[in-house]
Amino acid sequence: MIRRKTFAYVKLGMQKLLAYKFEVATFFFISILSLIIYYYLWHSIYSFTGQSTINGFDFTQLMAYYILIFFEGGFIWTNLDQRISDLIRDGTLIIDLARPTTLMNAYVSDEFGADLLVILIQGTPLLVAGVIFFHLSPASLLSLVLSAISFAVAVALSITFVFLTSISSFWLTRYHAVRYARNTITWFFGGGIVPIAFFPSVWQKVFALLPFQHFIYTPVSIFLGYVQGWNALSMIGMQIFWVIIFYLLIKLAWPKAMAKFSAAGG
Amino acid sequence: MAIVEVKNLKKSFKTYHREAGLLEAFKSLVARKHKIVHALKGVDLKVEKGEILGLIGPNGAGKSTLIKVLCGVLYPDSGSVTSLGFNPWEDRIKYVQNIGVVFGPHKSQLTWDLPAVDTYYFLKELYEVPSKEFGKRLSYFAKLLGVKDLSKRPIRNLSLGERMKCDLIAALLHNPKLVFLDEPTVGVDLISKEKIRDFIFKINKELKTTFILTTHDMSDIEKLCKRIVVINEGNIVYDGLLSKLKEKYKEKHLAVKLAEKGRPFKLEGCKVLRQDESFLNIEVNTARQSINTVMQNLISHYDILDVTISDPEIEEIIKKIYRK
Repeated sequence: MIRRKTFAYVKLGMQKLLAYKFEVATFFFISILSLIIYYYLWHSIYSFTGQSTINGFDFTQLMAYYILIFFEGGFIWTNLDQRISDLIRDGTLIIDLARPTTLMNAYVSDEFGADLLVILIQGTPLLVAGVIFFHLSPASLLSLVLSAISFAVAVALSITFVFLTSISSFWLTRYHAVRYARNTITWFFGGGIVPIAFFPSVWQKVFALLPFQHFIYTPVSIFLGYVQGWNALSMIGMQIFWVIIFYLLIKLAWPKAMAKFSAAGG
Repeated sequence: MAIVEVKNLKKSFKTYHREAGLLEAFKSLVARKHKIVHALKGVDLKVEKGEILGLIGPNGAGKSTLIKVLCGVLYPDSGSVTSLGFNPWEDRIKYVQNIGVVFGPHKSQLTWDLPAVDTYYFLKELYEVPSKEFGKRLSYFAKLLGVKDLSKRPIRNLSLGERMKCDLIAALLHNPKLVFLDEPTVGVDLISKEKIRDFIFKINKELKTTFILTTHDMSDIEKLCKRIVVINEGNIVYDGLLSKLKEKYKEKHLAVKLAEKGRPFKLEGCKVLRQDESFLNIEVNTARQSINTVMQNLISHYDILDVTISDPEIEEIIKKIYRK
């Protein structure tokens, strides 16, 4: 009956998001606004350099890249960790502890529900704009299928990572700085600012050792056909590897976190 | 049959403290001072099925800590708890399915941005309550507490008392056998308090639900609890019937209205609480002095307009226990 409980939290997360219409409207417009900013920024870079492709991306391809990145952003820019930290700080974590489910199920499902709606609300106009203006389409049917799988794993990867970092807030009463660092690192090393192909090859080797490119860059490059076939499958394998690592770390850290919470008096 | 059994329960926590000022704030970045707070120092307690147990004690006495341990949300340092046949913190998920909790007015389980009904339906799924039972209970509870229309307004728009009533409903929707209420009436107006008390009383009678509640409001205790447990500084200082407690403290209060100011009152076994132009208030320890003698003394020395003799307020008794 785990599924029924999970779904209850997913629904609650959605309801909470829909409680404020201004917030919903903001989600709708903010992604379009970001896209317009990136459009003019890169437009001027391309015309300044006078080149039609930069590191293998022409202007339309790069815009398609950013659209997909923003689309995925709905899961990356989560404030799940901040919420958990607030619950620990004011002691209201005990409310969820007094409910018949694990805290991970409670918070992850709740956040998943909200993120799913955010993706729908801010992702839909982005994808429509992408298809109309920037020839956004998957490289092939296989790319579409593989990138969908990769995207699903990326969501799991992002959520487990955020949950793992939020465990640190059991020790750090104020979590704000960690969240800021997490967002910046994930976004930068994940290829959110510029595609990873734009970095020098030494950097790219370092990036390959880190989990962050699998949050964003991997599903996007599979979709656009920059990574194909067995390479795509091995990238997905790496994603799954990192999900397992994060999950094991959570399992390891969680009992210690609960003991710490208990020692502080709740 | 005892449904909760607590043996030699101990719990302490570590807190930080620092002096006032910016410099001290910087200092505390490097070196922090710890302080160990012993919240529970070996508590033994038994709760019978169908009871309404009142847990009282001054702020910081350990009441909330005890409730948290009994709910399974905090681990104790040592000692054992068996509640409904479970170890609360080890079998937490299975155990909490059978209990209901209200953690006071500052820790509401209702979702702040949503109407209470949304949380109710969420809880229905979470506790797997059958639809028919859920509907019946919800409308019955709402009727008892008079909150039918409230549950459709966002929680943030409700007053404290209204929210507390909605919180009570939320804690009871899955028909728990055991319910913990941490200060369910604090900050609530008199009429709402009355409603909340009647509600608890009725649920206890009709559904045989066991309640453990903490409060600072002695009217809650007098209305609801046959048995009370007084906690002070992490120890249980009294555990027994409320009526016994009243008997044990044999002080009587005499409020005397005077026509004119008399000489200062002085008598063996009596304590003057207040004396002025027209009023004399005495506490008589009936173990040492009979009311009869006091009255004779009063009549012979004062011009009396009126006398009221009463039992001491339960609050006074509790204060005496705290001081011990």
